[in-house]
Amino acid sequence: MPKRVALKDYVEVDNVNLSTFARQVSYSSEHNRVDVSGFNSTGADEFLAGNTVQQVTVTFFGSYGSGEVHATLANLHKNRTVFDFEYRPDQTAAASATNPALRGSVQLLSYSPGVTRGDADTFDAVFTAADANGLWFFNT
Amino acid sequence: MKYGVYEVICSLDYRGHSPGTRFVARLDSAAEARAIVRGNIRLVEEISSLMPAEHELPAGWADSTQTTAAPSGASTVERGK
Repeated sequence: MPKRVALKDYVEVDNVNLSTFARQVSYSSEHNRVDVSGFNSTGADEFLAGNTVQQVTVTFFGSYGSGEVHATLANLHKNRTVFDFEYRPDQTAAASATNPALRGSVQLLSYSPGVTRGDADTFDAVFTAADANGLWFFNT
Repeated sequence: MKYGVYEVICSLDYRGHSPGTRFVARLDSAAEARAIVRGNIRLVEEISSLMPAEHELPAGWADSTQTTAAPSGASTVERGK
C-alpha cells in the first residue's frame, strides 16, 4: 500500500459526521502489564497481558452551530451517554480491508473546550470504550 | 416494529445521509431523540408495520396435516444440469 497524507479521514460521533471539524485522531489500545515475575537465574521480569483500555482522542475545532461539535458533545458528556463512534481513513470509500473502520460504543468522560486569544479554537475529546466489545477495526 | 422517514436538517451528514435528504430507518429511540433535540434530523413520518402482531394464514393454506416434506415427485433434479 502507498504512503498517505491524512486529508480525507472520516470522524462520526453519535451518527453525526464531524469530519470537517476534526483535524487529528489518535487511537490507543493498551493491555495492562501484570507482573508475574518470580525468582529466576537471569533476573528478567515476566509479564502477562491484563485488562485492556482502549480510547481514541480527536482534536476538534470548537463550533457552536446547530448540530455541530458543541451541540453534539456537550450533552453526551453531561448525560453520561454511551454512543457510537466511527473513524476511517478515507471518507469517500466504504469500510474495507484497505479502509478499516474503527468502531465502538464509547463515552465522553471529560469535556474540556478552551480557547486562546488569536488562535484557532481547538480542544481534545477523549472517547473511551464503554463496553466489552471495545474499540476495534472492522473491514465491513 | 416502528420505522420513520427522517430528513437531515443540519449542515452535517447524519448516518451517511447528506443534508436535505430524506431516509427511512429504524433508529434506536434514545439516539433518535438526541439527534432531533440537537437539530440533526426531523421526523417527517412515522411508519408502523401493516402486519398485525398476530395473524393467521388464509383458510385452507395450511392445516394440521401439513408437513415440511414435499410430496414425492414434486421436484426433479437432473444430474449434470
